[in-house]
Amino acid sequence: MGFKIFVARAEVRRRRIALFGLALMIGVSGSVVIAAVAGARRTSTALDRFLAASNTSDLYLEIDSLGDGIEPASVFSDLAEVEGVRAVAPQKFFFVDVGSEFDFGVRASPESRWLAEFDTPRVLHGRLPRDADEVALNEEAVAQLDLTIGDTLSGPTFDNAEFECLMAGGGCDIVGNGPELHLEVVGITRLPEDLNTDPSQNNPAALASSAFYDRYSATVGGWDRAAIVDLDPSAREDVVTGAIHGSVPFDTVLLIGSARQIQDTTDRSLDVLVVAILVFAVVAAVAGAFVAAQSITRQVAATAADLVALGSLGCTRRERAVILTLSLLPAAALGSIMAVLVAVAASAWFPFGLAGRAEPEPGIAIDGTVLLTGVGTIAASVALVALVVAWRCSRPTRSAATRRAGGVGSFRRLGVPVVPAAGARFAFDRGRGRGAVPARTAMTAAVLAFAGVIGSAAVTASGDRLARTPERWGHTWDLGPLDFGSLNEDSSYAGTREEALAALDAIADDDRLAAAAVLARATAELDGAEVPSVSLDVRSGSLDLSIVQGRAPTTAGEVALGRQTLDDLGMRIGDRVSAAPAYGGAADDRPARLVVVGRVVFPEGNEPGDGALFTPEGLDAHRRSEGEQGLVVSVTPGVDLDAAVAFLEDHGFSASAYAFATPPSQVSDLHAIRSVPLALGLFFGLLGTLSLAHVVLVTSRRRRHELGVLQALGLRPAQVRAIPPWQATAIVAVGAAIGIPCGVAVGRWVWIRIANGIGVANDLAVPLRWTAALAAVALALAIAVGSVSGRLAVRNRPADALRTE
Amino acid sequence: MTLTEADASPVVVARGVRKTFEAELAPVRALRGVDLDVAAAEFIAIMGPSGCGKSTLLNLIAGLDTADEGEIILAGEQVTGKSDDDLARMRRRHIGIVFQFFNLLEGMTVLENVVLPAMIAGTKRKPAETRARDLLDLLGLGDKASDVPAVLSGGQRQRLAIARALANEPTLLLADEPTGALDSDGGREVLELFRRLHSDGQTILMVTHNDEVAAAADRIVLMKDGRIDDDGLARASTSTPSSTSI
Repeated sequence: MGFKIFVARAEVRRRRIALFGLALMIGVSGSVVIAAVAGARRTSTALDRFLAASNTSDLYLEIDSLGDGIEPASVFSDLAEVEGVRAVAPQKFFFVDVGSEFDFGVRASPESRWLAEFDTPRVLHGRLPRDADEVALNEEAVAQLDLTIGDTLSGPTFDNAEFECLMAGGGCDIVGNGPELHLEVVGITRLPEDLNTDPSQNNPAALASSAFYDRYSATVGGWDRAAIVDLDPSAREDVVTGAIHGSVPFDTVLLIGSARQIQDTTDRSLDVLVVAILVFAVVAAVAGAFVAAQSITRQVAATAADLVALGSLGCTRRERAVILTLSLLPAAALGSIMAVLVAVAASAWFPFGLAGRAEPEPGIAIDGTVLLTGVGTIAASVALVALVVAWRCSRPTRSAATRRAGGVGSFRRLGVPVVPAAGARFAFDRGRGRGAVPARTAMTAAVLAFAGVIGSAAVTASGDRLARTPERWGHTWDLGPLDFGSLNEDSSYAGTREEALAALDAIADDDRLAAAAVLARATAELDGAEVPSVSLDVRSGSLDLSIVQGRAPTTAGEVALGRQTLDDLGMRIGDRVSAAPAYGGAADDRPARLVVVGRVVFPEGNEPGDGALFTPEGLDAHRRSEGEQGLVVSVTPGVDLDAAVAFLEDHGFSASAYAFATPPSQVSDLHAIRSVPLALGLFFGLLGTLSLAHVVLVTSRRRRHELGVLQALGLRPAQVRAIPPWQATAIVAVGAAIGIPCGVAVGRWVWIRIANGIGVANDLAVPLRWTAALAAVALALAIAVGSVSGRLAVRNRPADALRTE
Repeated sequence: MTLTEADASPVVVARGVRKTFEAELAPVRALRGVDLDVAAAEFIAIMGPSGCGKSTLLNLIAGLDTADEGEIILAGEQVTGKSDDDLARMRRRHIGIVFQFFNLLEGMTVLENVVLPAMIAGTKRKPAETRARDLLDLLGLGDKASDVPAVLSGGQRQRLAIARALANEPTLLLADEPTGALDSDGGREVLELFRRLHSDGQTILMVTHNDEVAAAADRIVLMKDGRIDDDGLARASTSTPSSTSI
């Protein structure tokens, strides 16, 4: 081994700058992958760690019905005696009129351990309330009420009697007999439930102390039929739940849920984020490995010229390969170290988005397992690639087949001037002997870079467009659905149905409304499976659900399905599906065979890809549930939305905050991870730039003899300086010509899979401006990189370059 | 030294050696049946026009390439038919090569270039260094030990290449146009060295196209069109190489 290390050391001394460049490339690629994998792990555990850090309670109780004469407080106080229960914190939501359009409640409990020992929120600013006149707000409340620490939350309240009357359905004087509250905001907090990505669940809220509860519970009305239960660590949730059910009076019904279940939507959103980051890591690893392997190949090829001498001195092929590999190990080691250091620094950016909000310990984190595995994998991979390439380069050269060089002449015959022709030759012809530099690897890296950047940009642009165009996720109207009751004529809502339809028809032709329709929902049974179904009864104007393929049904014998439903039923457009008759129909009613005529994206209330669209007659013929209906309207362009809301409310239709377009959680989740494809695109761009710089610099150095010959033939130094920029431009041009269409194709393939997985419209947004900008930036980089190389190339006199050896 | 005084066992025996290169336009028949014997302590110059197969023959004897047909025996060992690894090991023991364009390892110092062959052959570093320093002193490069080849003159680089070739006391010293890249002074230096080595008993096989350089050899073999046109034996038995000078 002695002489191999002896030679390898000399080689490292000689090529230290190039090896540093290789280490840099390995470090950049490795750091991105390691940081992403560690980030994904941290993201996947962020919620669990948040729950653990806040010592989240185990059960959430809600009184569904209360026996006569029984007070909620007594129900909850009895639960403290149940074995396995460590603490019960009854909850009261004290309603305060803060002048907003949403209901706002201050949440407090008589249990002083609540917030202090369990359900402890993360305090973002300030502190938890202690006194009776203090309150802490969540971020949603801060944003909607425009309050911060030191401000005062004020508003009138109901007393308990008024509140009970409200809950009973009204019919009494509600004047606000409770005290006016003035509460100092002392903190901004975040609980796990504040992470909920379902907009309908993300409410502004305030937390107050047990002192507040003690002072105001008797005078301020509020909803007090819920409690939080914290269990002993050793208690089994199912056993305690059973015991709780058994301990309440027989005529009192408790709904008991696991506090963890509240986090299901958040869990799902985090899963999407984790998957996105892991996909990023895999793609970055493959791309980085590819580009690094190319750089290693170029590096070994540059060293291979000494192989003749080593062979003449009696080195076997294996020994030559080992020497070449050993000379690259310092680059592998340095690259691995760089990767680890940068990955640790980059850990401060993880987790981000929703997971970042859940992370209880933001900042730098060291994931030893990932770091060690990453270092080992990088070092081993580089060594393996180096060994393979070195083995190939070490084979004895036998009969030297003469190869016709492409030559400047090939381009000259096309009328290309000498300097660009020489640059193109450097780009496309690897050269010979000591001056040989692999050319195809540079082209491949350029194609990969362009494809990666454009593909990532296309996916990002498509996601952005999806988020800002509601019709792509099924919301094809401006307002609605505004609820007006059941589909059943004999339902208790039946009286309002006719009135509602009459009121709708009275306003449908108003100039302020471009279209109005009744959106009905129910469940149908298709091929034995329960499918959430809708129909749209257009009363005026033109309104449709989002039909992304085929058409909407026009008769009761037709149906259109969502993407997921098509997959679940194994159907395609044109197939026939069996639809069970409506529930409660005639005994001899048979299932009908309906033709699938289109693919639909469903609005909120459904998963975007899950459902069936019928005609109104078709839904009536096949619905298997009571169903419900609501009004949806499109507002005439130019008409103010608030004015339209006021107009509808004047005619008996109430538009709550949820009547406005709200993207489904899957679309919000997708938008939340837009930085991932962006980062991937940047990574591809960086890799491509490093690879281009490496090949241009290596080529100028390796082929300085040719440059010397060109100078000897009369090219001025300025012309020789221009050859590397032309080389870089040629590489970039080929990369763009092949890579951009490939990127669009890859981006389309990826986007279709993402969109189809959610069930939304899957048309790709081709980022033309991004593409033009990328081409311009790439050209500028090519010229810059080539210019640096050109200056280095003419630093020596031609005579030095023309010296043999 | 005359042929009659040479060791009876030849250092190199080549019989019917053929070599063809596959080129894009037509195959190139570099050697078309070459027979050659090189006796111990003999100094042979191979001459001929460009493309006659001189360097190809040298590469085959050195085991840097393989013959298509024929047999080559070096120091009693078969060269033809050996694996690449065995050829490499054979070179360590028996061959020292001097190239026209030196083929020095630019990343190593002068001393390291001479130490390397001995280390490849298994010699420990210290004794290899001692021998290397001795060789450098012998060849007038003792004060250049820590320099890199790039700062040496052409003649000095070739002397360094010769020192490297002698590091393992080779059975046969092969030189391919050793003065081709040198000026007249450098060429004279190298030639003088070769004469000195030869007088010390070194067997030398040298390729050259220079008459003056070839005149320093015991025997001149003329090649033409891949064959030996004149093996020089007749002239060698009557000439006195030591009286030939440049």
